[in-house]
Amino acid sequence: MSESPRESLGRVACPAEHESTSGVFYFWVDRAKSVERTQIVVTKSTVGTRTVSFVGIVQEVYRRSRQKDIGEEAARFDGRTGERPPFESEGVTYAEVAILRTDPVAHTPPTEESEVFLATPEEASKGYGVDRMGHKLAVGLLRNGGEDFAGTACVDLDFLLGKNGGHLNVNGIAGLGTKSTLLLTVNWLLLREAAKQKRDAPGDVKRLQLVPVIFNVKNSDLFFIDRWNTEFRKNDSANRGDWRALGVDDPRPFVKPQFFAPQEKGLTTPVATGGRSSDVAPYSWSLSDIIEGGLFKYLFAEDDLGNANLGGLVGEVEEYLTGGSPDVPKLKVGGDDFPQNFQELLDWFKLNKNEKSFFGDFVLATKGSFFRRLKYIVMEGNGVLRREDTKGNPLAIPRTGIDSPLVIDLNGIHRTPSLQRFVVAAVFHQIMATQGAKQVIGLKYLITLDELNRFAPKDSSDAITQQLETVAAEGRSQGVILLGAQQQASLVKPRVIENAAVRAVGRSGTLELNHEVWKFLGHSTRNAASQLLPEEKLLYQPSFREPMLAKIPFPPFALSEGDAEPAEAGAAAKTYTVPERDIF
Amino acid sequence: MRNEPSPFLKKYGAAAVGATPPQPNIPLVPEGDEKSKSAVERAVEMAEADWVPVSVAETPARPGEFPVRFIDGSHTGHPVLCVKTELGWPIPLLLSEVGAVALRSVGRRFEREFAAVDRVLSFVADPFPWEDVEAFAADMANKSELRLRVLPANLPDLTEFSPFDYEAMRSQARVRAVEEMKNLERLALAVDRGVPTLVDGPLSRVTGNPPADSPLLIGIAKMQEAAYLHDAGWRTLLNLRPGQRTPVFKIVGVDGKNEGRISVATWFLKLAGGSQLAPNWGYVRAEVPWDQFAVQFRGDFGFVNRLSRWLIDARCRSQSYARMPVSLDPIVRAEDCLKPLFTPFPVLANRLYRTAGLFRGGEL
Repeated sequence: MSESPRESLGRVACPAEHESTSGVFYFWVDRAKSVERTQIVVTKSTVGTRTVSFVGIVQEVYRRSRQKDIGEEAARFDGRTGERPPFESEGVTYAEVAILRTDPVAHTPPTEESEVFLATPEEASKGYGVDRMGHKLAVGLLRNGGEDFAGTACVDLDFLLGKNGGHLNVNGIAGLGTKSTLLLTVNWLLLREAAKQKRDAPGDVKRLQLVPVIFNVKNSDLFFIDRWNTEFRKNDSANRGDWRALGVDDPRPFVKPQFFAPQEKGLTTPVATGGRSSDVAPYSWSLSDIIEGGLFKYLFAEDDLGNANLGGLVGEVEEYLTGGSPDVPKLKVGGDDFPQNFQELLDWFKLNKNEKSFFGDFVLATKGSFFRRLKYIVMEGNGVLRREDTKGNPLAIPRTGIDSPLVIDLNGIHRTPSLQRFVVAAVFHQIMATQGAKQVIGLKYLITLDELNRFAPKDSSDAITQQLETVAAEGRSQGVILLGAQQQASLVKPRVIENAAVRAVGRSGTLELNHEVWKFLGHSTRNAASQLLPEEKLLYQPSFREPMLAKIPFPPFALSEGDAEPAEAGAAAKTYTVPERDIF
Repeated sequence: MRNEPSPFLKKYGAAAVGATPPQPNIPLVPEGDEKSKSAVERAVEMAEADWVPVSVAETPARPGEFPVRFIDGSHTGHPVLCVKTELGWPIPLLLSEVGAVALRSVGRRFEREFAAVDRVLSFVADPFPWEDVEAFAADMANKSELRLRVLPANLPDLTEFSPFDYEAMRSQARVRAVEEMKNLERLALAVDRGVPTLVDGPLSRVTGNPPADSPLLIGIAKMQEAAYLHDAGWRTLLNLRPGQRTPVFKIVGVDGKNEGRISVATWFLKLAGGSQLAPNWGYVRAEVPWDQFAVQFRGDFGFVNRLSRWLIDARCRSQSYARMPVSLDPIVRAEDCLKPLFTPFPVLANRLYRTAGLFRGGEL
């Protein structure tokens, strides 16, 4: 049986004002066909002696009538809507296409009258250079118009995990839950791949190992990622179909993640985290933990450290309190009055601050300022900062790969943003120190952090912001990958955004999309970004000439307590088997 | 690379010429749509003295009474070269593209059913040795980027025109090219005679007398040269308001049979009007073969009104179209379908110049 001939959508047209370039071309649409924005199309032209194939994405579809102005449009009906001219106006539909790829590489436009076809999944995939990706990860389904797909939407792991670039940044308005979906899905898929490599080559020192650290910033939403999502179950068949298209036959919740929440003031238990209580570990830091971790300066915010005097005093106090070797700092054990916890530190400082010899390089006002700020953070953070305990439960990030993520709650301390920032900085500091000391080949720390605007605000330059900037700029080479998100990238430190090699844009506000940070998206793409569906993301990485519109499959894991199935039903998720199929 | 000039062009001293307007001081060979004086019978619908505008009712045309195919032709071209005979007569070579198209209405839309375009080079060839003309024609036809068909035109009547009259020679060449366009229109018409068809222009241009019972043929003439009307007729015509027509009258062909000389039932119809429209503008002359009118439609003026209503409804309404007041939408659309098939004239002319070995300023 012969294959039916491929039907063309239209032909390239390049009259004045619609000239083809090496980046854009236009085509008129056959009147029996429809073309939609985001469809991927192909055409071939003879350029000189070569035949060049072009793959492009429809940026916009236009319709033009045969009338010259609106007056003529009305005249056809004699200005009366009830009129029916004997013949249709029969305008023309045409589309603007951004070229994604040419084969062979040619910086030349397609020529007029070349036939344009809808791309096959293979052609679409080639358009985005999937065939050239070293290690690809399918994260969604590649949109091909409003309802159809052209295969999978892949990102290049060489851009995500550090070889050619690193980090993923997601932008999107609040309320649709789509930023978390993508971030958690990427975590899930990477864990799946790491598990597969572990099974296939357990002795391979270069195999992918992951330590996923997920910060929970809103309610206790991410404390239920080991439970089935009831919404997934409601449309089980279709959702599984989407995952199957990605090569995942058995989507399921995360297996045995470890949950950490701020320790309650005066207790050994964590703060309440919604319906999850039994398997949540508390985290906290005593003064000695702070000194041992080198975290003292992170207790103070930008306003504090921005002042040279106060910053200097913070440094001197830390130095004064620190003993042990440079590699293994310890809280000094001095005489009876040497502070061994935060309360003692406050008392000691209060008692001595008026003496001239006590940190004599600093005036009384500076010492008073230091004391007030330390008192504020210790009082506000009482619980996470153990005011009277000599030992806390500091977060200990593993130094080797693990099979499930660590979920660290920040919502329990949402009333003290400075404390939230401290916790994030403490984790980053620890990871950077670990990786800086001795890097395990193949070990990647995946740090998932929403609300980046809170942790690395655009106009801030404090230690915590600098920490995130350092991670963004240098983390990839040390195996520290930031999977960040925010509602408005324009409010985040540009260096953090710009260093994310893979960027995803969910539905975003039009005001936000007009900011400088979004100029890399064309007008049409920005317009599209303001109208995306909740499950859609525009994915961009340096090898793409235009962003890729992907549908992210609905997550099988709950992203809020309200969507979580009861724990008993979720127990089935605790046996995890790695499917045979290779996603790379 | 510079091409070798055609021997013919070299031998007869070809030089580049542009599109100059016809010179008014030299009599032109008639070349309009209606150059023949035919007999006119005006008392078909009412006595000559009683002529008054007839208002066209709203009654819609019945199947078979209105066209579903539309034929239009197009000609574009002007002299691009001029050669001289041994006697020094100036002979312009007219480069033209001619074409014809047939549109069929399907519901309220149109489909291009037939289209043909030809590139021709016409000139008065009689003064040249035939073998030179033949060799030149073969040369032009074999140039792959030109594929020009050479059309020999007749000498003008030398008892009426001087052989040194460039305009007379040009006019002859143009008439020949237009004749070629008509041939294509005839072809477009002949492709399907099974449905009522409207032709842009008088019917006599493209058809002989069709059988009385064959599908309706309609001609729409925009250019009026022949004086068909008497004084009362003119007054009626100039008093027409949009939606009115003159009484039907008959134009009798020379023998009533031969192509180009068919008898027609005809009437003027005012399509458009308005305060800014000159009184002699906005009307067309519709015609149908007399035999069809008399036999198939039994001389029914109701049919004339219904067809007129259809034509009024199908009028062009685009102000931006220069000939909007005298155009029908289907014909404008046919033109839209045909014109893009033409090669931009400067491109064609330059190819010919290059072929002729003409460069910079027209040196050979």
